[in-house]
Amino acid sequence: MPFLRRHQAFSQHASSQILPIILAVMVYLSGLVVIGAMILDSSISRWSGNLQANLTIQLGPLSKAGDKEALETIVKMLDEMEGVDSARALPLEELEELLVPWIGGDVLGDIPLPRLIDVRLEPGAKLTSHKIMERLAEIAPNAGIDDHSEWINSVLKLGHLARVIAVAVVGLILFVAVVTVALSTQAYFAVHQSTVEIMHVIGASDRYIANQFGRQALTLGIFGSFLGMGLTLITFTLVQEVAADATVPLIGKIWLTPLEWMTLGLLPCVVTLVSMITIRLTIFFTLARLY
Amino acid sequence: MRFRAVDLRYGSGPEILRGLSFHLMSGSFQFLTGPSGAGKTSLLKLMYLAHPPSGGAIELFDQVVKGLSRDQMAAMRRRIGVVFQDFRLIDHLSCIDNVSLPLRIVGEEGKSVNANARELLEWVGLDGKMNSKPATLSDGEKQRVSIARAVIGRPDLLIADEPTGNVDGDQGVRLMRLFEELNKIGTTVIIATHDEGMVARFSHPVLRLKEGCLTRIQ
Ligand SMILES: Nc1ncnc2c1ncn2[C@@H]1O[C@H](COP(=O)(O)OP(=O)(O)OP(=O)(O)O)[C@@H](O)[C@H]1O
Ligand SMILES: [Mg+2]
Repeated sequence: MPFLRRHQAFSQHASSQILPIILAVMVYLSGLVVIGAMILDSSISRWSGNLQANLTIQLGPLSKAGDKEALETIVKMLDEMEGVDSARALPLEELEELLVPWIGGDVLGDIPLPRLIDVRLEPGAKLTSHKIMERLAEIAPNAGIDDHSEWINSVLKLGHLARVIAVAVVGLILFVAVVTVALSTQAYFAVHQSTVEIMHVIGASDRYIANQFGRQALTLGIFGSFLGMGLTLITFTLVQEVAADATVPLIGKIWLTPLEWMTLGLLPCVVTLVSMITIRLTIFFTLARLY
Repeated sequence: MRFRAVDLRYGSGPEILRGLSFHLMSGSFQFLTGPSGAGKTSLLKLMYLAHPPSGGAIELFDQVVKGLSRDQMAAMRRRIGVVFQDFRLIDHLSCIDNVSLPLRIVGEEGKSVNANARELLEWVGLDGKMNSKPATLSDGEKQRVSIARAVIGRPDLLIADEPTGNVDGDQGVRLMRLFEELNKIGTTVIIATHDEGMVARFSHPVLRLKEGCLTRIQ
């Protein structure tokens, strides 16, 4: 390679050229896993965030005539509660429209219907359904609340699981990278056994030998890691374009936040750093066997 | 350099050297002779810190070797120039880069390093081979590259294992003169050889090894 100095003590060898390839593949794979997890996680939390901002209050059947006033009081009370953006009683007609296909128009007129109140929370409101229930209990003891929380929680768990799996997979990939890099360093050293012994016996310190090898490995390592990141970005852009064309439910538009970009950018740096530490430790470990 | 009851065995093999005790004054010029297989190379390995003794104590430059840190050992090796019996040149480096290696490992860079190496290669008669790789050289030429590498760092101690074994008589004498020049400026020189003619020709003290024991210290 042209960037190596002429008197570089360690020559190029197949076992050193494999280093950038290993790192490129490792960074590419972990980049894809991280991007996938981040997209899944962020679309889930965006979407469940929308759901969370909504809850429905169900009042036990009211007689059609009398309790219009009661309903209005409740809606007004909710509307004025701190953290509530708006509260709206679902008009009877709307409710009936919803039910007709299920029960049939004739019967509907006779049965008392529960009334639903659609409550929209202010974004980031600390209001819990429990608090609302407490207030409601005073004026409408038979009210029920549906805040989708059980369902949302299970979906959020999925997002969380995706993140845990991504971290585990990246950890696994790093582990494989460490083992492979350590083994290829040993192979490289075995090939250069006589060079290492000569350098050692004419007085080169372990640090000098490690540096000689390390400088070359660092260049190759950085090259490989960022090549892998480049491939990840190309793949990401392709997926983004395909997703923009198709209407993918749930995921919708694919994009990353600045923080997620930073995490992604950190990946090749971490892989390079971990590999360099591995190489150095392997070299010192191998040299320690010389007298 | 002082050896006290030094033994050497490789791994769990037989004892190659037994109970060696001697003292070499700094600035001396010493021959080491003995039949092939007597253990000359093995004794030199102990001296240039390539192998630990299996018993006894070695003192070098007024320091007990045992117990030194790896960095201190490396620093000690840098004060020793070695001409190996099997040359030990780095295959993919040119002659000039092989010769300049001892300077580079102490961090010297630049033109003076190459100039220095070139001068020494000229001195050992290899002007035309500066950029050749070791594989293209004859044994005698490799030996001279090895000698140039051993002396370039102006070592305090020069250890040469059969340095004239592969060159003709005139070349051999010329190389011996180089070692004597170095000795005059203060380098302690130890030369292993089974060339008795050479030993007789230069009047220097002789250590004789036979079957792993010192038989005579002159
Ligand atoms: N690395 C080693 N492992 C095991 N035995 C060894 C090793 N090196 C040398 N020996 C043994 O030690 C003995 C002495 O070898 P050494 O090379 O020191 O002899 P020498 O005096 O230098 O011989 P020559 O004049 O042929 O160079 C030999 O019997 C050899 O087989
Ligand atoms: Mg020998």
